[in-house]
Amino acid sequence: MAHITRDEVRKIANISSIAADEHELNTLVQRLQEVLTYAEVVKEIALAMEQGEEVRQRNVMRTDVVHATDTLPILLQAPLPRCSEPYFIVPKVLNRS
Amino acid sequence: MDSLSFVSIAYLREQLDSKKISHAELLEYFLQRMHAHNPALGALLEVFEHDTVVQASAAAGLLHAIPGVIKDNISQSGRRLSCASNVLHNFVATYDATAIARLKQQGAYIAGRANLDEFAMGSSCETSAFYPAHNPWDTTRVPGGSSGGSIAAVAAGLVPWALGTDTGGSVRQPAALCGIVGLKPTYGLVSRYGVVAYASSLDQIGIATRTVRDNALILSVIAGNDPHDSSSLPIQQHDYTQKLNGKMPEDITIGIIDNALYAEGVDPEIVRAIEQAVTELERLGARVKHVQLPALEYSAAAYFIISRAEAASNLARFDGVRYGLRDQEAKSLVDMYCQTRAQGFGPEVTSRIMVGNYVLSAGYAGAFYENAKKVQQLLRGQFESLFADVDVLVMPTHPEPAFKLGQYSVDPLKIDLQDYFTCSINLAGIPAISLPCGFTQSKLPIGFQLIGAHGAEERIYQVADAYEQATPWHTHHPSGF
Repeated sequence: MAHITRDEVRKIANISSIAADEHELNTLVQRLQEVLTYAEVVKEIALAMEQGEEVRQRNVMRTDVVHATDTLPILLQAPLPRCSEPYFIVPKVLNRS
Repeated sequence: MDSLSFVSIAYLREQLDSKKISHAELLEYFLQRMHAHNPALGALLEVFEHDTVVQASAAAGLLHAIPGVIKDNISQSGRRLSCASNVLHNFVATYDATAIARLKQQGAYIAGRANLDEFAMGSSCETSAFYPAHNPWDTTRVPGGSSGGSIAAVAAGLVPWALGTDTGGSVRQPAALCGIVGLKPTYGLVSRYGVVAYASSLDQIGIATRTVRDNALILSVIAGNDPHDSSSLPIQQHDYTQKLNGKMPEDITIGIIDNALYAEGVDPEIVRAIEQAVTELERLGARVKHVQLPALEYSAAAYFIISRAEAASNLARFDGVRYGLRDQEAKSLVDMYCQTRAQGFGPEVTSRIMVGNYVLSAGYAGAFYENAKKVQQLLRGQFESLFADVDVLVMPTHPEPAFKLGQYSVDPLKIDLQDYFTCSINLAGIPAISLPCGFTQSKLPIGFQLIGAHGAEERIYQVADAYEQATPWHTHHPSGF
C-alpha cells in the first residue's frame, strides 16, 4: 500500500502551484493514498516483462515556419490589469518593498 | 413536429430537401427543445442565438441545417470555452478547432456548448464547476462522463448529434448509460487541434448519435489528416457510410473478451444483455471466439498514471497570467499562481494534477510512470495478437448502470473505475463504439463495445449497423422529452 505523508503532499502542492490549507491537505493525502495504492499494481506486471523492450513511438515533424498571427484578440483575454500589446502585467516576481 | 425529436439525420435531410420544413423552422424547433428541457437536464452550458448559429456555417453541405452541440472543451471561434471550470469562466475562443471548421464547412448548425466534467476529468458529469448534468432516463441519476452533457442532449432528443472527447471512455461510457451510440476513433484520425488538452497522448474527439449511420456520417465530415496536429494520421477524408447496408459483413470473426465480460463486479444484468447481444451477432452470421486480454486488469492503473501525468503538465498553463481567472489579491507572482489555481480548479482536477506531479517526481517516476508505459506497450501487443485472429472484439462498456447523483461522493475511486473497460482502448490507440443492447429491470440503458484494430472504423460500423438493424434498442427513447 502506498504511504503518502502530509509533507509529501505539501511539497507536491507547491510543485503544482496550488495553494492548499490544512483541511484541504488532509483530503488530498487521503485521495492520493487511495489512487496511488490502486495504481501500484503496475509495478507487478512491469517486473514480469522482458527487459529492453522499447515503447514504439514515432515523432511526426513539420517545418518550423513563422506565420503572422493577430495577437490582439488573444491579448485581450488577459486578466486585468492589462497593458498594451505585446505585454502582460503580472505581480512582482520578487516580493520586496 | 414532435415526431422530429428522435429521428435520424437522414430523415431530417429528407424533410429539409423536400421543403416539408425550412432550415429556420428546424433550428427553432430544436432550440426551443433545448430551452424547455435543459433546466431539468443540465446538459448545456449555453444555447446559442438563432441568427448567430446560421451565420457561422456554410449555406450548403452534407450536414446543412442539421443542429448539434459541442462539448465545451472544443474551441468554437467567438464563443466561450469554459471546460466547465472556474479557471476559464470568462475565456472566449479565438479560433475554430479543425473538427468545428469542417462541420461548419458542411453547413452543420452548431447550436450550443455542452456540459462536462471539469476539464473532462470524471465519469459522472458531477465535477462541472457550474452544475451537474442528469440522465434523461432517470434525472436522479448521472448521465456518465465526462461528455455527459453532449450525450444527455442527444439521448433526450435535443439534437441528433453531438461531439464529445474520449480520453479514457468519456464518450462511450455516458453513451452506454444513456442508451445511445458513442464512437472513440483511432488516435490521430480526428484532429485534436482546438481541443483543450487533458492527456494529449490519449485524447480523441468522439461522436454521440442515436444511430450508427448518423455516427458514421459525422465521422465522414470531421476525420482526416490535419497539418495543425502533429499526431494526425496520414488518412484522407472518407465516406464511412458507404458500406453500411444493415447486413453483417461476410466472414467476420468476433472475439468475446471473457476476462472482461465475466470480471468481478460487472452487474449481472449487463452480463446477460451482452450475452444476448453476442447470440444475436452469431445469428447474423458472425463466427464467435472466446479470448482473453490478460493486461486488462492493469489497464485502469496504467491509465490513472499516464492521464494524470499528462494532465499535470497540460494544466500548468492555467496560471492567471494570459487568460482566465486571476487572483487579484496576490502580492507576488508565485502567490498569484497558487491562489489563482486553488480558486480556479475544483477538487477532482486538483487531485489529478497532484497525482500527476507525484508520479512524475524524482524517485517515483520509475515505479509509476515508466511502468505504466510498459503496461501500455503490453496492452498494445495483446490487442495486436488478438486482431490476428479476430476482426472485432466485444467487451462491456460499463460495469454498472447509471448511478445516483452523489452516490459515490465519499468513494471517488468507484467513479474513477467506471473507466475500467474503456481506458484500455485509449491506451492502445484503437477505435471502439458503444452500442445500446438492452435495459435493466429498472429501465436503465445497457451498452457494450465493439472494438476494432487500428484504423478499422469502417469494419466496426458495419458490424454495429447490422446489430442495430436487427435489434430494437435504438428505437427506445426516454419519456418526458
